[in-house]
Amino acid sequence: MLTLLRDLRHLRQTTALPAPERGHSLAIRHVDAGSCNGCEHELTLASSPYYDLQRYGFGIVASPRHADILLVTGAVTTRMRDPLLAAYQAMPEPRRVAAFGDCALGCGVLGLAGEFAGRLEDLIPVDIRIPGCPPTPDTIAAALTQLCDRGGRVAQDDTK
Amino acid sequence: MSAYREEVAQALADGCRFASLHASDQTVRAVLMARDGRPRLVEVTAPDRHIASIVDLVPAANWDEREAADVYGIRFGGHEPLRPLVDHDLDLGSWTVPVRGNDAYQVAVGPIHAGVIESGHFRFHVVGDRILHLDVRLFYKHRGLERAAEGANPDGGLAYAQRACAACAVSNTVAYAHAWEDALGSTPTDELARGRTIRLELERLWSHLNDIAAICAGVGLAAGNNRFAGLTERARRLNAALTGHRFLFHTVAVGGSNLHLDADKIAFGRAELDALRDESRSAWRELLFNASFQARLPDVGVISSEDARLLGASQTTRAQPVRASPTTASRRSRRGGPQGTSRHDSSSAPSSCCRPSRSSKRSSTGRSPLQSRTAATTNARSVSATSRAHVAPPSASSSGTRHGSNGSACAPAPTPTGPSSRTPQPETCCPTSH
Repeated sequence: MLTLLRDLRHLRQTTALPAPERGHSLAIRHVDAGSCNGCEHELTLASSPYYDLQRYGFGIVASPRHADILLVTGAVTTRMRDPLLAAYQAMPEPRRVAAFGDCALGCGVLGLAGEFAGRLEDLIPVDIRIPGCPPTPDTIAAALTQLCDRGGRVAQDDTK
Repeated sequence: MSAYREEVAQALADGCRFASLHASDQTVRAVLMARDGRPRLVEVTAPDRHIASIVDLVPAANWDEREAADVYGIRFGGHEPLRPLVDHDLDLGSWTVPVRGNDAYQVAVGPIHAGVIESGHFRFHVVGDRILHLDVRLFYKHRGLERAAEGANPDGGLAYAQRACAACAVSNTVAYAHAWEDALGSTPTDELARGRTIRLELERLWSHLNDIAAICAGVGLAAGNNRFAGLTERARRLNAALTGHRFLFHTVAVGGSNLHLDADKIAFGRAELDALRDESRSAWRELLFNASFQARLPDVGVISSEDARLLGASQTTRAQPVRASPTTASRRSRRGGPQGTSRHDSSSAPSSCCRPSRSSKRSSTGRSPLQSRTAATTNARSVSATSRAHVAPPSASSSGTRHGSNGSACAPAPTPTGPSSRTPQPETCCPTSH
C-alpha cells in the first residue's frame, strides 16, 4: 500500500497539474444513451491521476437529482429515450446538458434508423458540445472547466 | 436427432470450437472453428421456423439462439425456457426467475447506474445482504449494427465492426478483416499478421490495466484504482503515440494495414512498454500482498471449469478452452520474432466476441498470475451472484433443462461449494502450455 501511495504522489508531482484558480464545482451525471463505451472509458480516465478533475470540484454523482450537468453519450436509442428523459426531468434547475462525443452530436451515427429515438438536441436542449470519437480526457477537462469558469453560462458559439 | 444437430455434434467431436450462431430469416448457421482456425459452417433452413436447439451440446450458443428467436421469430425446440434477450417489450415474468420465500425481495437497478457504466437493468433477488439470484436485461443500446452493415463493402463494414465496442475495436476489426480475407481466399503475410498481433496486444494491455483498476474500484480500494487508472492512461497515450488514436481506431484494414511505424516510434514503444511492465508489476505486487485488498475479494475470481463451460465463458470471450487454442495455431496470427513486442508468450485471440455485459467483456489468455487472476475475477463477477446463493430459487428443480449464459438469468445455480471453490482453477483461463 505504501508503494502505491508513493507512486501516486510521484505521479502527481510529475504530471504537475496546475491548482484550480477558483472555488466553483460541478456535479456531473452521465447517461449512456447508446454509445460504444469509448466515451465512458475516456470519461473514467478524466478522473485518473493525469487529469484529476476532482481537484476542480468536478464529481460524478449517483443521481440526476444531485447533478448540475447531464453528460449524454451515444446516439439516443429508442430504449434509452425514456430513461434519459426521466433523468433530465429529475434534475434541479439550473441544469445543463452536454452532448458528449460525436454520436451524441449526431455525427457519423451507425445503425438502423428505426433503433434511434432521434437527435439528442431534438429531445432535450443541449447546452455544450464535446466533440470527438471519443473525446479525449483533455477535451473533456477543457469543456467542463470552461463551463465552470463561465459560472455555468453557455457561450454563444456553443448554442448554435 | 436432426441432421443439423448431428452435424454440430460431429464437428464438436472432431475438436471444433463453437464460434457463433447466426440467423437470417428462416435460416440458421452455426459457425465452428477447427483447431487450425478454419471455419466450419453448419446450416439449416426451416420454413416454419422450428429448429432444434443446440444449447445442450454447446451452452455458449445460448445468447445467439435467444437473439435469433427475438429478431427472426425462430423457435428453438429443446431450449427451455427460451427467454427474451434483445426483445424488451415483454413483461417482467418472461425474463426473470421467480424467487419466493421469507423476506425475499427484488432490488431493481438501472438502466442508468450510479457510476460511469454502460446502461443495463439488473434485478437482484435478495434477502438482506445476501443475493439469491440476479436477472439481467441488457441491449438497451441496441443499434441494429449487424443488419445495418449488411451489404457493406470492406471499408464500410469495418466501421461497424470498429464501433460495436470501443474496447474491442482491434479484436473486432481484425476478425472482420480475417472474414473478408477468407472469403476472398487470401492469407495475410507474416508481416501483416505480426502488425495485427501488435495492435491486438496493445488493446489487450490497456484493457487488462483498466480491468484491474475497475476491480479495485469495485471493492473500494481508491489507491489501487488510481494507480492502475494512471497506467491505463499511459497505455492509451502509447496507443495514440504509435497509431494516432487512443483506442487504435482506423488502424486495421481489409487486406492491408493502416499502421505505419518508423524506427523512432518503435523505440519509443519499446521503452514505454518496458516502463509499463515494470510499473504494473510493482503495483500488482502491492495488491497481491495487501491484506486489506485481499480480504475484500472472498470468492471473487473463482470459477470452476464446469461453470465456465455452462456460462459459455470459455468460448465467447478471449479465454480459450483447455484444448490447444485454434488461434495460437492459426496461420493468421504471428508473434515473437525480431519485431514482436510480446515478451511474455501470451496469446491474443482475434476472434474475440464482444458482449455488452461488462462482466463478460474481457478475459485473459495470458499465463502470468496477474493476467489469469484478473480474467477470472472479471469473468466470475456475473457468476458470483448465483454461486453464492445458499437458497436455490423454487424453480431450481428444473435447472437441469436450463442453460447458462454470461451474466444472464438462466444460469443454473451451482450448489454451494466447499473450500475447493476458493482455489482458482487456472485451466479455465489459461491456454495449454507449450
